[in-house]
Amino acid sequence: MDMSSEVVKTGTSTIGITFDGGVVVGADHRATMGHFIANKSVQKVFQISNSIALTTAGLVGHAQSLSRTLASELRLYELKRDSPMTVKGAATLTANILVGRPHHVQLLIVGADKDGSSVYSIDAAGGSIPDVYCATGSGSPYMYGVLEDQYRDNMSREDALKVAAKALLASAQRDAASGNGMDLAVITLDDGFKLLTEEEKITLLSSL
Amino acid sequence: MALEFMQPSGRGYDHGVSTFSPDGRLYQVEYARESVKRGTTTVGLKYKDGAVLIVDKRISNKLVITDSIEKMYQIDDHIGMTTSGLVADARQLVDKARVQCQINRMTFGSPISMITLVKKMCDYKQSFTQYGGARPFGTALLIAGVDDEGVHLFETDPSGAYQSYQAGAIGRGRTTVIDHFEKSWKNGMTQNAAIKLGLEALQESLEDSLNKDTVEISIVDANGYNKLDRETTLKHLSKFK
Repeated sequence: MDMSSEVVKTGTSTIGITFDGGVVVGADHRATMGHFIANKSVQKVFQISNSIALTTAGLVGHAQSLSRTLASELRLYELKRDSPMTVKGAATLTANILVGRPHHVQLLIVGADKDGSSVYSIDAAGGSIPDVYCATGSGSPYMYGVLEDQYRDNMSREDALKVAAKALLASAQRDAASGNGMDLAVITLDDGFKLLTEEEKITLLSSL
Repeated sequence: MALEFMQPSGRGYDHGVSTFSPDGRLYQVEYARESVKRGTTTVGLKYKDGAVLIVDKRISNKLVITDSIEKMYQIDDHIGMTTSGLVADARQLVDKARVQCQINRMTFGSPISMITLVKKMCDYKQSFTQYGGARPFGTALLIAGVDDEGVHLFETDPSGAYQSYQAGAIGRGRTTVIDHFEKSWKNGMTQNAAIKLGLEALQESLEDSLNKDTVEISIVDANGYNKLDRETTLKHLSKFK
């Protein structure tokens, strides 16, 4: 596996969008092996602390291993220091792990802390870049089309959810390696990580 | 006179951690237990749906900022711990316990069971009584937690021995508290009754009265570990007085 010369093949769509007071995060449910759909209900959004989440694209084993490590590290940090890790802290920690031992993944670390809400995109070798919105995976070009058109600074929670859902719908339509429904979650400092229920998703998607 | 009295069994056998005396005792371990007996009294007791841990931080100096002293520790979502003895030693054990809980989550994807954690901690403590080079921990732990088997309350001592209790205590006032619990602890108490009994027993073991600013109460039940906030703690204390 040579990661330096080859662009990471991910076969996934994940998205993170900041809004006024929090962040919306989402991902599709499809796992592929070449042209074969290996699984139709994969979890790609992982809660790693009360108000920080991770989305994963790339090798499932590497992604799951990282999510376990991060969840444990963030919990220990919080227990020892009596205050939660910041999103920037979590992104830097993840980047440091990846610099030490590259994983075949493309990640988003998203969340809310005392400094506001943010989205960090993290590459396989530990590059970490903060942004106000970001999309990863093979479906990202289609999602960026929606994002470039519809993202606004200081959107409401509802508008950010709509943009995320539209973007994921677009990639499900046009990217062969994305689809089979989606997970969507909202993170705010006060309410923490809230995954949308099936009913909430149906209501949201029918409102588009 | 006192020295001569100690000579036959004791002399020379309390230097090494890992050397038995001729009558089969490990003096350094016994001395470590003494430091627990000089420690803050902390109590724990089970009730109908969970377990209560209570400690009075006993800060004698008015100038000390009470929040800077820790005696009640959350170890994982479902486990809490109080300690008696050397506070610095206790912090090492608390760190170790927290890491063990996360290692279990990372390795097996599930929260650690109480008996697994207690055995891990006691294996660690025991190793300092069998190998030379470092002294034993001068610390006892009172660990309360909930797992698939239910609610548990464990006590560990510096040798690495552990026991599970319905109601227990460690530290200076242990004997008084245990006597009190033996008389008054009942199966199936309510949470409020358990807190009241715990406070009573703790109070009985102290020369002066409980300090309302330094008493800490934690609950472990099906919802996990929860340290009561100041307001709720004061409410319990006022009911008790």
